[in-house]
Amino acid sequence: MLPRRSWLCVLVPLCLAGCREDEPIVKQTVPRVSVMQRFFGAILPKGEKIWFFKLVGTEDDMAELQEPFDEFLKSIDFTDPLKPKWKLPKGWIEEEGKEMRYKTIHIGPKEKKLDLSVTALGLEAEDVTENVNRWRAQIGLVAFHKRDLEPFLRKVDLPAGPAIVVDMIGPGAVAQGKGPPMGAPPRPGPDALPFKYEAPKGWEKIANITLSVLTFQVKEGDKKARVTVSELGKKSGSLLDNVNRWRRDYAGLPEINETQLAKDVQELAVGLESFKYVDIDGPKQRILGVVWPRPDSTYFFKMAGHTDVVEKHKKNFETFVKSVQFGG
Amino acid sequence: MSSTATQPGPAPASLKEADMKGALVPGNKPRAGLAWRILQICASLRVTVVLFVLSFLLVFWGTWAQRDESIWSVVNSYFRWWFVWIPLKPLTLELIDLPVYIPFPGGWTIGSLLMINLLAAHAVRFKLTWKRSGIILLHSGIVLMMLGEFVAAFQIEGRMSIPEGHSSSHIESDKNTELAIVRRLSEKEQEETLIPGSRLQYHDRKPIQDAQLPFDVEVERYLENSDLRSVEKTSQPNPATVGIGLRQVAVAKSKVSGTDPNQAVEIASAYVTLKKKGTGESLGTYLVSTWFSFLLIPAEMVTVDGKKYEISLRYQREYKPYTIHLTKFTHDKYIGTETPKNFQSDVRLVDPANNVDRAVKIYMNNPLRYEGETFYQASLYPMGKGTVLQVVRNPGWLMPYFSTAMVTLGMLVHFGIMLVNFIIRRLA
Repeated sequence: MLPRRSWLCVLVPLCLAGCREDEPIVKQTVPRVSVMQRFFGAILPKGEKIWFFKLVGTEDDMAELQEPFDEFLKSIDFTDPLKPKWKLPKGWIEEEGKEMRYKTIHIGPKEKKLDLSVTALGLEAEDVTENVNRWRAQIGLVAFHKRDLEPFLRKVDLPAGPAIVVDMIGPGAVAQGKGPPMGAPPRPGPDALPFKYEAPKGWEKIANITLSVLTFQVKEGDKKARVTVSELGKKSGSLLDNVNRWRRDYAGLPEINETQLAKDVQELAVGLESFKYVDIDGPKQRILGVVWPRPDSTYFFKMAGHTDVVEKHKKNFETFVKSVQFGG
Repeated sequence: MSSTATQPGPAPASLKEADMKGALVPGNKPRAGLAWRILQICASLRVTVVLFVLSFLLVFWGTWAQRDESIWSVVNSYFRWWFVWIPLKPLTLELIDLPVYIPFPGGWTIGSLLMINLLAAHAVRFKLTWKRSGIILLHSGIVLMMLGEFVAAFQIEGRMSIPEGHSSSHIESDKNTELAIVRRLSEKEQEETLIPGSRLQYHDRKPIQDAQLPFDVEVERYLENSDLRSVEKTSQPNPATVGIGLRQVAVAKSKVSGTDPNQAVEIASAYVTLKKKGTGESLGTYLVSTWFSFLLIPAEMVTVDGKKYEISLRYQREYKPYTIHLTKFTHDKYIGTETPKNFQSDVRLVDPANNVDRAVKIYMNNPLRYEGETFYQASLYPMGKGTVLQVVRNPGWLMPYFSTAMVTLGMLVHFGIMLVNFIIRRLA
């Protein structure tokens, strides 16, 4: 039989052992091996247009730009609804945009390539979820359902009107981390495209511009044209909306009605299908446009530029569109 | 197995005999003293039986507790700790559900006492003879098995998530959290002050103050498992006064139980009020959540004395002296289906201190082993193209194999000796 007191030898240490000590607070300096991309965006509907403000850079650069970006948004003035003005923070330099882009604002040294883009689209681009998911793709993030995007969206009452402001972090669509300790081969661009294509000889593939997933530049001497492939959501507007946008913004022509559109529009046969095809020649530019509806989105194939270049490459453009084969 | 150790003949008689022998050894006075007496108590067969019963009960209630608690919460509170408060609910087979807790010895206590009991039994009763070699081998195997469980407490299991084209040099726990207060020093370095999640969980309404912290931290609420809701969609009170907490509210979710077939990861959230040191002036009440690090929502920024700090609740990190860079991630599917055929991570392992810079392919059944850690291909990077590697370090991974082999061999030797003796007796 054990002596009664011997149980104390067991119980006392047990009770003492039951008390957990606080884990310590630790301070450490650690290396940063991978720097992500950060995205500031704002969507501001005004009249017949949806205005998009977009700024992408490394986490480090963007951390310093959060307050200036907010201040910039607050300064936007829509006295003229088609030509907004704003107050630029010190060191920001504004220049005219190209194509759909209204303005480009350079921030800091040019080699940093920190540009705030201002773009205006028609009401067909009002779907916030589609726009934010497009932006997410640009910084290498997967698309989210509308309800899952809520934490990223900030509803702000700006002096210019209510806006949706977005702040996201992602790895970048093409690896852009500064930190890899060795040269990582860049991811080939076509991998990200859901279609295969054959580019005509002489077309130079260049960096994508706003909304486009594939961009080429075509030159004939000093004259230029640009071929873009863009993907928009299902609600990308009617054919008339898009043709009128091209006429107005690119060609410098007045808008037309359905009757005139029916006369102007042609069909381009691609395999067993055929798609709406327009050729718009205006005082500013000549535009060739093909609208290719897909189950979840609509693709726009467009050639815009100097009339002579577009004329010379019209056949090439049609051959290019006919070479496109969507996977799956 | 230990019961084999407690069969040295008629126990009470042999114990008394042993006592007498110990006391009568000439020139060995301490044996008759207190130390010898304590050793005898430790070697008691009654202690063995009591400890076995306690361990059966602990395993039973620990298993029952997994109806409400996660596996790791139970392992850490019931089995890998000295002392546990068992709620009345499982004790009464869920017949009584009152907030009453019964103290009970934890796994480490019972295991340690069993080990002492076994070693004391050998010191007091067993002799080192060929006849007993099987039992000694068998018991050595059991001691090794118990030591293996202690070594397993140092096991590390975590994950490393790397987007394609990026690098990582840290492993994230999927069990423990930490409140990270981060200040960027340069493009290549950052200073982190880390408050363990347990300090947020068991705060006793006292502010967390520390010379290393740039401000005091008061925990308003800590939710072990949580969900996020839009402010407009919940009537729950919102303690946040700044930041994303003004738009999103964290709501408590029941903990992931050990019996849940999905075994989802618990996602913690907390409301913390930051206060200026000395003056106690509030810098705001922030919502921090591991949801944010999971979804890649930018961390909240706080400025104190002109210095900018990011605060975030994240999974506990362990930094490594080497870096893994994901060059390419391949995710093949069977044609026409979404069924994965192959996941493969093409990585570069870089360890400048050891002059290591090599390309490695990690895929199913082909893990990367480096510096005692094993990197298995586990999953896809949830936010985009990339990989999730399961990282395991178990310094005692060979111990269960050795201990089981020793126990098996010990039993074979012991029963072999018994069989030979029996046959000899029959033949004689």
